Parts: sequence; structure tokens; C-alpha cells
Amino acid sequence: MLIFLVFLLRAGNSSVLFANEPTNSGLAFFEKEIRPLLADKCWKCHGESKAESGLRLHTREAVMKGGKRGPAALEKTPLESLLLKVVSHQGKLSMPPKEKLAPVDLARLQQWVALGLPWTKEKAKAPANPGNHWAFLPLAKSPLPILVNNRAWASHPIDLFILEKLNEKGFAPPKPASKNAWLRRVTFNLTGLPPTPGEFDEFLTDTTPYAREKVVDRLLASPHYGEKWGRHWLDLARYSDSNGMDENLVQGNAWRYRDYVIEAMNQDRPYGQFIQEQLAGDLLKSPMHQGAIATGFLSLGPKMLAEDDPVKMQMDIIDEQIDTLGKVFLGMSLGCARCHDHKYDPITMGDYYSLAGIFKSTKVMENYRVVARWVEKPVGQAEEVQHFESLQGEMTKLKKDQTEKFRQAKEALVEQEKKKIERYVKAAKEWNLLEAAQVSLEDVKNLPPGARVIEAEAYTQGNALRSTTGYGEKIGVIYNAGELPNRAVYEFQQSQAVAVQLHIRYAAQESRPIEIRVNGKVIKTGAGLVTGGWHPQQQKWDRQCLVSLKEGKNQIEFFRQGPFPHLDKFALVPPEKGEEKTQEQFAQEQGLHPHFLGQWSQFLKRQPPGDPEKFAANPKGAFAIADNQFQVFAKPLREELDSLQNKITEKEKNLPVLPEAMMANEGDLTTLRIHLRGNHLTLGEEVSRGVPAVFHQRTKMAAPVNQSGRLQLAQWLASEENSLARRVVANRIWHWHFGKGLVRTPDNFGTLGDSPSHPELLDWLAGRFTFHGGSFKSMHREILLSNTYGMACADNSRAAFEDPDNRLFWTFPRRRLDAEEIRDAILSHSVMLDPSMRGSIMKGKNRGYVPGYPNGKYDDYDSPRRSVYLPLIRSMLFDLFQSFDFPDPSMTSGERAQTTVAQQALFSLNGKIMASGPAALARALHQQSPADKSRQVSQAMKIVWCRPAANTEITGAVDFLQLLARDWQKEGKPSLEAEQLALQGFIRVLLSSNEFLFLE
Amino acid sequence: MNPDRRMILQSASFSLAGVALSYLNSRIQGAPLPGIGTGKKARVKRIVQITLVGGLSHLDSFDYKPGLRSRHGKSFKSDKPPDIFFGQIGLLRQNDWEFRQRGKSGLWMSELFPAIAGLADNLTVIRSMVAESANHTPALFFENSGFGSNGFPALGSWISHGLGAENENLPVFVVLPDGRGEANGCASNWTSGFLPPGHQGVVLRAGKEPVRDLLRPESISKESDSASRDFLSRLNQENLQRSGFEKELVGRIRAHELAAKLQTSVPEVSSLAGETQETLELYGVDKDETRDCAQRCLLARRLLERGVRFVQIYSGGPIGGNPRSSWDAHENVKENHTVEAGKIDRPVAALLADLKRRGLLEDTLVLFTTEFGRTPFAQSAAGTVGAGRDHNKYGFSIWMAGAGLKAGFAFGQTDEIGWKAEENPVPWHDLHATILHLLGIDHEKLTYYHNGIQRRLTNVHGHIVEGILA
Repeated sequence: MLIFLVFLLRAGNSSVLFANEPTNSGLAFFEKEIRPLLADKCWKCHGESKAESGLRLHTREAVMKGGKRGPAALEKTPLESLLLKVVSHQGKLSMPPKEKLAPVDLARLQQWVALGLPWTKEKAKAPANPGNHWAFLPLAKSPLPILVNNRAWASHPIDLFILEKLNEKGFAPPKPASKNAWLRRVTFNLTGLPPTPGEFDEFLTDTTPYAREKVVDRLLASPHYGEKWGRHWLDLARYSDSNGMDENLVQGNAWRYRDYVIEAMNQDRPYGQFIQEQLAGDLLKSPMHQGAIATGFLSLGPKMLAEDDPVKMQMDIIDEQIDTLGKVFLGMSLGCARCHDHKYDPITMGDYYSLAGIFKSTKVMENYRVVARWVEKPVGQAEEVQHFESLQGEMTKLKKDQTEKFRQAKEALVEQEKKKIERYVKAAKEWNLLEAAQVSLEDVKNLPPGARVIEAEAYTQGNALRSTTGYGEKIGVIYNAGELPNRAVYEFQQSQAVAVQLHIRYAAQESRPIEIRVNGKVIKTGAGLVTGGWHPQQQKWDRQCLVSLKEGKNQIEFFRQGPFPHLDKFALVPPEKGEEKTQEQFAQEQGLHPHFLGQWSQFLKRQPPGDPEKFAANPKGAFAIADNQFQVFAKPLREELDSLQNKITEKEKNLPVLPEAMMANEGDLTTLRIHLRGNHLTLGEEVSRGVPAVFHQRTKMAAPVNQSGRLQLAQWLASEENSLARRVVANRIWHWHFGKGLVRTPDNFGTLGDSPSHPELLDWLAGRFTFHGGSFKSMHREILLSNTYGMACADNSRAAFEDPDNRLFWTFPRRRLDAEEIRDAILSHSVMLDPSMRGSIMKGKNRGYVPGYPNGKYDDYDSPRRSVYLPLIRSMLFDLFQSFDFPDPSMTSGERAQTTVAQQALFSLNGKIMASGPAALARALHQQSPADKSRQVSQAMKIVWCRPAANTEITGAVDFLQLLARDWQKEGKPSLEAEQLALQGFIRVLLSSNEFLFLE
Repeated sequence: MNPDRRMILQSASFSLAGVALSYLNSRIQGAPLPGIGTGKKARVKRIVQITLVGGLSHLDSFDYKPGLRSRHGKSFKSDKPPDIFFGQIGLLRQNDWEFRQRGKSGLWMSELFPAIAGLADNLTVIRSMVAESANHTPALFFENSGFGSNGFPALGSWISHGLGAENENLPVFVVLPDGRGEANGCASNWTSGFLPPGHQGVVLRAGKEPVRDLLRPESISKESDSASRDFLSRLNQENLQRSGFEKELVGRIRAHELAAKLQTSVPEVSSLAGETQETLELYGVDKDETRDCAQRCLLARRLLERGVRFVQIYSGGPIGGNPRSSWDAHENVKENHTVEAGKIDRPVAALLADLKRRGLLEDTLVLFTTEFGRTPFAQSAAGTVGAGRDHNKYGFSIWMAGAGLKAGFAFGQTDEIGWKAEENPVPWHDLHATILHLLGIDHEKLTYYHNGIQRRLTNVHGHIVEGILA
């Protein structure tokens, strides 16, 4: 430590060291100490926006150029720079004018000037020819650097590239990691699980030259591989089991996409195919939407399902898709171009709306209502689907028969009645006068004698929700329960046949007309008024029509495909004047059809009145018959149609319920106009569907006129020629092995992103990936068997000083286990892990609101399944995940943070699993060797730390064990139990220790 | 500790590692960032924000509109369809509460918050707020983070990032959700986004374990627990030496020390046992109606006293559900606001008065905010005057109190009926810039580099609202 500090001071005073190219530490010094100082004390008057006395200090060039008084700094004689003179307040000119800088700031400024004014290169300017940005260029085929020093260290081409840069800096080749450190590293890295003691023994005693290959092959063949590497991909795909945002609905079928990803990884799906499946799997050949499961990728994002502007909702969803896709596959933040041309990358608004057109022509949503519905369709295995399809076929045939019969019947009836247009008009006028004479209950104080009132909530069959609070405060109403269609049936006895007037009392904020059926016959569609709200104070009586009741049992049914208005009650009132007739009676007297008379009657009430001829000719007009209005027809025909309908309903009921998946399909093809400032209400020029123009320099993609272009976009992204996409994925693979990429901004390869530390290696890896046909597993073999991957976590103070970020990979980056690894390792060590794969353990019902309770978290994380199968709830992430840097599942995350907060320490000692896990392992170890404490502790250390314990460590641990056991005995525990509890306490400490939590 | 015990639990080279520890102790939660200052003295050291969820009707509370009363029952005219929520535009509706001028300042306030009105001379009311969205979730995100989607750091997180901890034994940013549940978006409202997770809001809950995993498992005695910590520390020291004093490992050792401090400080601050009867009654802890909010307001004061920088108290749980559990008065403003105000009026006034009498208001900022206001027209069928009001993003009111502000002062104006902000409109970005300014932070300098972009709380916007500064 001390040496390190001394070195820092010495280096700081030596200007020679930094004369030319600024080093990382010089730049870090600038960023940490100098830039804030300049910003705080100087830029207000000498900054980008202001140049008092002609001087700006906002770039290095500006400082060197200086103002009216000449250059502010001198490169050859730095200590004589004007800048230093004026800040020392010793000459004529003193700056800052009012207060002198603190001595420590003066010293820092002096040191910085002496270092040669290291200044971070401003990356904010787009390159002159945007297509020449390094990431967009074709892959370079550099020769392997075979003439490097220390060549013996290299066992693989990767090592040569790494060694070359180390040599340039004069860093020694790194030492290899110990065998046990390597085994622990590679096992967690490929499977997210620790090695078992058996695997440990096998590897340590295997002295053959192929010992490492054997381990890598074993791990790559393990199904746990897909769980670990699939999870990496799920970080990118912002995978979640709930929608999040305003309507946090359960995405109850999202897990099928998760299982698809895990399986694809285990089967080593070639990358190109993997991309195409996720963007356009529905367009590739596969049985019954099976392939479309992968397109869940497009619909899994957070969606504002209660956005009241449907056009905006759709554009927001499309934006989320584009933003995700851009980051995941291209490392480009394309979302910026929604409202303005990208400031730094060569992406214009036209480019954005070109891409958006593809997704506007793609369907992931059923509708954009409040609350909107995402698309789900059945998926299944081949036999299932065959059976399903054959049943569907039978149904289709029945439906066809029915439709044909219906059509014939309809034509015959209409032809006959159309001859009576004049009679209909005359009769309907008469009827309307008769009807107008009848009263509404809204205008009467007391119900007339003999009236029958039935409360809506007294239905005998149906599915509407009864409520006596809120909408039904104190009086009771029924309304929609979520299940559609809505239905409510009422039964009552009648002592004699009679015609009565039906009145319904209800509240409605929007028109929701219901079908009124009396004794099985549709009488009319009514109760469609808007009363002004949904609450009791907005209820109104609404007169419907005369209905005929028979002697004995009668049945009235309300039915609506959608949700009901809020129904309070209905009344059946005897007509005031004895001569009142039902519409049906009236029609029969006139020799007309009641159904059509009803339609004419409504027509004549219209304001302004319409043309009867046109109404008669309109297919939806006077002689319209809805598709299932069979009661319009006379008896034999009606019965025949009804029985066909019954058969269809029966078949429908027996149709197996196939699993469904979220997916994308082709939608209505369209092109978009540019949305000025991102607003869909201010539109600009129209653009054709396609990819950003900058990519057309080398690889082209065009959307066909008769398809959305999604498949072509996927093929373009998947193409071996797409060097940007290949570099992005090669960097990701490296990143997931080393914890850090060759490019440190894995989701941003644009001009503001990082540049690769080893550009030749990056291109070599990208080329190699293509050579292997896009196989992840082949890339793992390449990387894992290199000496670069096999190096130790070094303690190299010189390298640490000159390359503190380890850009050159002079050490293997030590990393903390991630959230899932911690949990899965504890379960695994404790022999509690349930290794079963696939499926969902989500409690909530699909599309229901996320289950929870006030201030609560989704409370079912005690499952012994691997962490990848635990439900992920947006905005209510599992505590343990949240504490240990699990990324927000609302957005793409190519890199996880690695933080150290007190909450993690609290979890490590007190978390729920820290009680059950150690108890289970303690029981097992105690059983194996009840009397041998040394063996118990050394086994525990071997399991948790994956290394043999030193003798001193064993002695220390046994002492601690005895101390804990004595404490327990003092608490009154019998000695055997005290011993076991002590062992449990020791294991709790082991699982909290840094050696467990970190991977070397 | 007896010598035997000490030998077992401590490593021989403990003192050497101690040097490394003290060197790297500096910034777990951290000290203020350099170079973010305004160059002026900070007027405010800590903030408490009362966040009303659902949309408070400014027309019935802080924005007196005689013009609305005289037009009651008249039709509302607008040149283009307004962006509200349900889209039902009834006739104009007058205020349900009477307004009076208050205190020496003569600030207009309604009868809705009688206790707060009694302290009117301390308030700075902004009557010309404007919001970007008329939808609850994005509007609340805008209020909290300046962005309409999730994933951006909350105001409290930015302050934690900028100023670090005043008291290292407690979190910098504490959230106290309504007892009825968390607001829409839950933890996304106090996320640290792309800032390191240490800056996220820590939720303190009622009950004996206000912070997760705070207490040792019941099965472990206090003595064994402390022995285990010592032994863990020994194992970690040994591991540290083998690793060459790796920074990450030191950080973890330090995190364990902080955790141990939290185990003492959190139960201490959460317990109201030491408060006098007078204080408990002042806040309304004794009444069913006010208890939930009173306990949280009192806890807020205790946290502020101990150096917590940002406490956010929510009034209102999830949107939706029946009956409403927030200020979202679509059906009936009178009924809804009477109930909601009854829960918070007394506790909030008590908090303000208590901060004042303890001298804390001199460097504490109190914020009383809501995501948007409500419409001057009723939410009912055309041609009717219903009892409810819809969302209004075009103009609404909030108030602030504390150091650096003109007290007993109203800023900005809406039009004659309180529909749109007309004079000095204040978007959230401006309010955020002003809050940071009061903390001595320049909102353009408080930045964080994330995925290629130098991010700010105020994005590319933000002007200081000079008109309210004293």
C-alpha cells in the first residue's frame, strides 16, 4: 500500500513521463480534479458560451491558443504559463478575481500543467464521413502477431493479441491461476453454479493434458449452461413476467420465450438463426405458431396500456421495440432519432421512421384500448395441433352449413317482405304514435299497482359482478366481472298470460345497449342511453317495450357481448290503458313481420328523417338480420338452425385448450411519415420501410411491398456481412467471460461509445464467430482454453497504476458473484437445489394485475428452483435480486453493475436463505462425520471455497466452532444440538465471506 | 472480550489491514462531488417532500378563481380537444370549498386544509405548474425524475449522488409510502436508475423490521452473532492479504461495518417512544384518521434531525380500485378530497410547525407536490355539471416552505378559470433546477456518464425560478 502511494507521488511530479500522449492516470487526474475546478472557477467567464478578454478554457486547444494576452499555457516551459501566474495572485492580473484558489487547488493546477495538460479527447463530434466510424467498417483481417516477445506464454491466437499489448507496455505475461481457482471460475462462468466436491476431486487428480478440455466439454453439455447463458440474453431482452408501467399486468405466457432462449442456448442455435427466430419466427416455417414463441422478444417490453391516445400508445410501443433492437443487435441507441436527428451518430429521423414503418406493419397488440391487449395465440406440439386442427375442421364445416342455410332463409324472407315497404312505413308510424302515449317511470312518483320490480343483482344465472359499494353504494348494482360476454337471467312465476311494459334502471357513462330476451326470444336491443356516469346518482329509468309473459314460469335475460351498463333493477308494469299491445301483436294484426317493423319504427324516429327507399336497400337497414338472429324465422327453420348452433357450441366446448404465447405477426402494411419532434400530430415527409441509410454503404436491406420487412431486417442483422452486428456479439461473448468487454460500452458502439482496447482481437473474434457458423459453444472453447482466460488475479502494482482499468487484461478481473449465482450456489451447497427446468411458477393469472399486498413484494421466492425461473415483476423486483445489482427488467442491459452496499451485508448474514441453507448443509456434514470437527470444517471450506483448507485455517475454525457451541450450551441447548447449531453458524459465516462471494 | 475469545476471532495482522481500510474508507456513500457547486452558499441542507398521488384539485385548494364561480354551469370552450384522461367534458364547476385570505401575507387558501392554512405565512405557493403528461404513471415519473419513463434516477438519488451522506449510519434518501400501498410504478419512483444502486431510496416500513434483513435470525444469540461478525472479519482480512488489498474486497468489509451501524441506528430512529405526548398529539398519532400520515411525518422529522438528506412521504396508494385510495377524484371531488385532506392536513401542518420551532426550517426545504391538477370543468356528460374533475396537466399548484424562499408568497397565475398556466409557467425541470440550486448545486453540473450520454436530472432543460427566491 505504502509503496503504491509513494509511486503515485513520484509519478505525479515527473513531467517527462507524460510529455506526449496523456496516460489514463493523467486523464483520470484531469477528470477528477481539474475539470471540476475549471468548471467551478473559470468557465463562467471563460467557457464555451463566454470568452472574456477573448479567452476560453473549455478545451485544451482553447487553453493553448489563449486570449488577448497570449497563450494561457506553454508546452515547452509549462511552469511559466500565464494561467499559473494569474491564479497565484502575485502579478498585475489575478484570477479568479474575487477569491484566490485554495492552496490544494493551486498545487493541483500546477501539477496538471506540469504534466502537459492531459485533457480527455472530446468525442462529441461526429466524424466527417459517418460511414468511416470504426464500428461500421468491414472486419479487418489482421495477421496474427506471431513475432511477439515471451511467445512461449501464448497457447492460443487470443493470447498473442493480448501479449502484444502487454509487451508494448512492458508488462510481464500474467501468471496462471491455480487449478482450483480456474475450475471455480469456469464452472460459475458456464453454468452459474459452483463445482461439486466430486468434480473438484476429479479435476485436481486429472493430470492428463486434456483435463481442461474435458471440464469445458462437460460444462457445455450440461443443461445448466443454457440457464446461465440464456439469462445473459434475457438481460438484453428486458425479459419480465409482468408488463410494468401504469398497468402492471401479469405476462402469464412470457416464460415460454424464456424457455425458448434457454433451449436455444443449450442447442447452440446458430446466431443468425437465433436473430431471425426472435424477430420473425412467425414467418419461418414451423407448426402452429411454435416458431413465433421467439417473437415474444418484440412484445415483452413495458407498454403504457392505459395511454388514452391509441396512436401515441402504438408509437411508444414501436419506439421501445426499435430502441431495444438497436441496442441489442447493433449497439446503437436508435431511439434518440424519434424526435430529432441523432446528435452524434449518423441516424436521421427519416432512418428512424423507416424502421418504425416495419414495426407499424407488425402486429403485437390486439387493440390499443384502455386497457390494451397484447397478442397471444395458441402454440402446441405436432399431435396436439393435428387433433386441434381436425376438430377445428369439423367445426368449420358445421359453421359453413349453418351459414348457407341461414343465407337461404334470409334471402327468401327478405324477398317476400320487401314487397311491403309502403305498408311497413305506414304501420311503423302508427306504432310510434301508440308507443309515445306510454309513460316513462322517470316521470312517475309511485309505481302503478300490480307492477313487479326485480333487483338486477337477484339474477339466477349469469356472470356479472354484484356490488353494494362504490358503483352500487348502498343500493346494489351489477356490472362486468371481467368475463365476457355479460349475462344475467331472471326467473319468475306468472299467474296468467299478460303483456307488460318493461322498464330498466341503470347508470352508464357510455352507450352499452343490451340484448333483451324474453323466454328465449330476443325482443329488442335497448337500454343504450348515456346517463352521465357510472354511479347511483346517475341512474335513470329507461322504458323499453311491451313484452308478453306467459302463464307459469317466465324467463327474462339480459345479454351483451361486451360489458353491461351498471344495472340497478327493472320493472314490469301493466299497461295503463287496457288496449296496449306488444309490438309483436301489432305487427301480426297488420300482416307484417315484427322484426322488420321494429327496425322501421326506429328508422322513423331518426332526426333528420332518412329516405325510406335507401333504408330498404341498405344491407344494414330495414331488412337486415344479424348472423345469429334465428328467432326471426318460422319454426322448422328456426329449430334446424338452433340445433346446428348447439352442435357448434358443443364442439367449441370440447376443443382442447392449447397453451398460448405472446408473439408478433404481420399487421396491416403501411409506411410512416416523419413525426416532427416525435409528435404524431405534426407529420412530415413519408419514408419507405428499411434500415438506416448509413448501413447501406456496404450491406443493403429493402422491405418488399407485400411484407412488413421484418424478416428481411432480421436476415440483414443476421448476415455475416453485417460487421457491426458481428462485432457487437463478439464483444458480448468476451464481456460475459471476463466481466469486461474489449469495448467497455457493450450496448453503445456509436461515436459516443468506447473504442476497442484490442481492435484486431475484436475483429479476429468476430471473424472466428462467423467461421464457426455463429456457434456460441465453439467460441467458448476458443476463449476458455486460452492462457488469457487461465491467468490469475494478479497483484501487480505497476500495472495497476499505469492501467487501473485493466484495459490490457494484465490480470483476470476479480468479480463478485451475481444475484442468481449467490442464491443458486447457496441452494446448491446446501443440497436444496431443485434442478428441474422449464415452466412457470408465477402465481398470478395471465393478464391479471400483479398479485401483491400493500407495500409488499411478490411473495413466493422460497422455491428451491434455480433463480432464472423465479418470477420477475417490473417495479417490484425480488429483494435479493435488487440488492445484488440485478438489472431493471424494463430495459436492455448488456452489463451488470457490481456495487457494494450495506444492504448486501445485511442479506449475507440475516437473509431468509442464510438460515435454511446453512442448517441443511450442517445437518449433512454432521451426519457424515459426527465426531470429527476438523473434517466437518475442512469439508465445509472445500465446498464453499472450492479449495483445500490450510491446517491453520482448520484449527482456527475448530476453535470458533467450539466457542459457538459453548455459547449455545449457555443458552441451554443439549451438547449434540449445540454442536450442530455451531456448525450451522460457521457455515453462515463462510457463505458471508468474501472468498465465497468473489470469483478469482 | 476475554483474551481467548479475542485470539480466536481476530487475525494477527489486523492492524496492517486497518491501514488499508482507513485509506479506502472514503466513499461508500461518499462525500460531496467536486465541481457541482453554484458558487453560492447552500441555503438548504435537507428536504422533505410530501407527494400527493392522483392529482390534487388546485381549484379547490390553492388557486382562487372567482371567475370560475361566476361561470359555474357555463360551457367550457377550447380551440382544440384537450389532453385529459377520460375525455368527458361537462360544464364548468365552481370550487367546492370557500376561499379566504390568510395570515399577515393575505395568501388565498381554501378551507380544504385548515391547519396548513394556519401556517400560510410560511408558504411559497406556485400556482403555475405545468406537467408533461396527463397520465398518472408518466406524470409521477416526471415529477420524480424529470423523465416520463422508468429507469431514470429520482431527485433524491441525484441528491445522494451529488452530496453524499451527512450521517453515514443512515441512508441518504428515505421513502415512506402510504399505508394503503405504493403508488403506481412502485420502486421505479425512487430508483437510482443508472446511478450506482447505493443511491436508491430506502423504504422504511412500519413494524419491527423497517429495513429488510435488518435483524439477526431469531435462532442466533446476540453474543454468537457478534462473535460471528468478528470471525467473518478475520476470514476477510486473511483473504484480503492474499489478494493484495484489492479495493472491491475492502469495500465489502466496510459494507459490513455500515450494516452493523444500521442495525443500531434504524431501530433507534424508527421508535417514537421518546416523543412527548404533546408532540404525538400535535401530529395526530392518537387519531385513527391521521395516524398513518402522522407517524410518517414524525419519523420524517426524526430522520431529518439525524442528517438524512431527502425524505419523501407519499399521500395516496395505488391508482384504481374502489373506493379510491388516492387524490384521483374523477367521481366526486368533495367526497374524495375531504377524506384525503382529513388524513394529512394536521400531520403536515404539525411537521412544518415542529421543524420551525426546532430551528430546522432554517436549512430544511418542505415540498408539497402533486403530479398534476384537476379540470375546471366537471367530468360528466356534455351539458351537465357532475361532481368529479378530470386530470389537468396545463396548470396546477404546489407549495414549498423553508430556507431561501419568499414566504407567504404566491408565484405565477393560471387563466381566469384555472385551466392553463398563463403567467410564469413552471415545468418540473425548472422546479428541479431550483431545488438543486437551493442545495447549492448547479443542475447543469450534476451529471453522470451513462452509455455514451452525460445525463442530468434536468435533461437538456431547466431554468431556476428566480421569482420565488428570497
